[in-house]
Amino acid sequence: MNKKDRLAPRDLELLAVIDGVLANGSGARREDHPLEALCVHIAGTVPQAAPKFQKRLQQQLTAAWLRKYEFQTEGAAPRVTSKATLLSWVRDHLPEAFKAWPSLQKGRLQSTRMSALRVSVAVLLVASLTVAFVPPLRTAVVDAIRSIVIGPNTDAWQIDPHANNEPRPLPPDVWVIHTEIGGFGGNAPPGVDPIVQTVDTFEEAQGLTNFHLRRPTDLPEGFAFREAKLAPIGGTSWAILFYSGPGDEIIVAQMPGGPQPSDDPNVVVAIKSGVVTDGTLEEVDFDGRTAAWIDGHSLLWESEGISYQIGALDLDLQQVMDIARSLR
Amino acid sequence: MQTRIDGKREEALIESAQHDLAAFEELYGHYFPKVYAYVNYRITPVQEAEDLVASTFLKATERLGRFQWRGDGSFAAWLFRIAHDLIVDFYRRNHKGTSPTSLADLPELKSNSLLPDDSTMQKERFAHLRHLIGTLSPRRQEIITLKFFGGLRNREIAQMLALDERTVASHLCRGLEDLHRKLASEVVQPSKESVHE
Repeated sequence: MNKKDRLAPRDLELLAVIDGVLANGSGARREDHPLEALCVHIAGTVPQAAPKFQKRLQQQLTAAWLRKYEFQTEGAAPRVTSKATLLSWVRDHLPEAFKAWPSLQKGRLQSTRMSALRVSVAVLLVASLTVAFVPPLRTAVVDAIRSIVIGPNTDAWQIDPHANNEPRPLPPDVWVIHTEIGGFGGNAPPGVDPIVQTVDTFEEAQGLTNFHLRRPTDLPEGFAFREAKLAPIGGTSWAILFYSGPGDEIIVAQMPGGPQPSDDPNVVVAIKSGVVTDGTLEEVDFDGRTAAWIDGHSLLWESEGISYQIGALDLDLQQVMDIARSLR
Repeated sequence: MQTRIDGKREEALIESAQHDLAAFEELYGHYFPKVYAYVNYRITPVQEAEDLVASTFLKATERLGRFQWRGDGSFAAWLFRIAHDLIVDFYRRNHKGTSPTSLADLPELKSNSLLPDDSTMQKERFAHLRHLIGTLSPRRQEIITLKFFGGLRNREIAQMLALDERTVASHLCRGLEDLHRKLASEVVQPSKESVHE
């Protein structure tokens, strides 16, 4: 005897009515049943999502899926022997990363809703180099000593500093900017030259970016804006501001993450960024936000979809946080 | 009419969903309308319901790697369990009871009509029905909304709520009978509940 046999006949009848209504829409199967009309009424009063909400959620989920699953592949973490060889390690993985791109894009094109996702993942380089756009690199950092999720578009990883990598040339669409706190690198979008522009004023830098650039309004005495470097990534730019003064240079880097404007309506462009270090990585609280304190001189956080990194070799965490709080 | 994915196909989709975005999208596309409808019957206003729907899918995306297939219906039970737990948390935080609802706080309803008046009428019907369902015991609210809007079978609801399948069937039937009685009594005594703009 199955469980349904222990139900009263009237219940069995009602369950059949319910199943009939749900299977056949509003077409009644048992019009003589007293609750049939109620079941039809309930089944026909269905909330439906607004297209705008559906689209927004799709984008959020795509970004979340990419962050969680796109970069998870098999393989052991690469090893780097020292800070100087992180760059070599990155070079090792970049060719593989770009081989993966055609299949990545092809897979997206088969989807009619979230088709042709083109992911540009920029890299904040700290300690030597930080790369996050390379799936195999991300593979490696999945096996990192530790990782910190800074925000929806920003992560930080600490890896074991043992490696055996020989230097190799970077792919042609990758740019690198060297600073005192480390190197920054990323891949230019298809069709765009990986040229880093240098400008002498903040206003010029703002004119060349498509997001609100923020600058520190409270710096240690004697520091002033020197120049800005702007590098192309995923339809926007990575902006690095340099401030010179009596001490070590202060670096202020910022870049929007997540979905970006796309010229092609069938293409979704998204940006991820991250930091890999073989030095120290500490999770800190920055005014209620999760942030990373990297190598003892660089603060990484995300706010309103933008990744920020500020640092200087001779500033401590509180000093860097004070500068970060003064960004306008 | 409720649609279902064949069990074998669903199992294959779930297995692929962690490395194939298209598979993930198909799962999402199938379950989104069900979760949306279910949550909107449990949470008001629509803006809060949408936040909760988004949280449900974001959590599901995050946890997909930990899901273990246990047969036909196990994924639906798992997904709606996430939504259910978020709803429970919502009520713990908000202590909201049934209250008059503005039309702006209501979701759109499925309709074949383009007339704005029909849309308003539909929203009023929805608000009224939701209010009535809200007068049932929490258990029966849950079971009715999961059955009619989540598209879950009695077995799946039982699995999700850790109940016996017969108990789910009983609650479903008693809940509908209660609703029927309340509706019938409203014909005699019109409800004082109102929807305002």
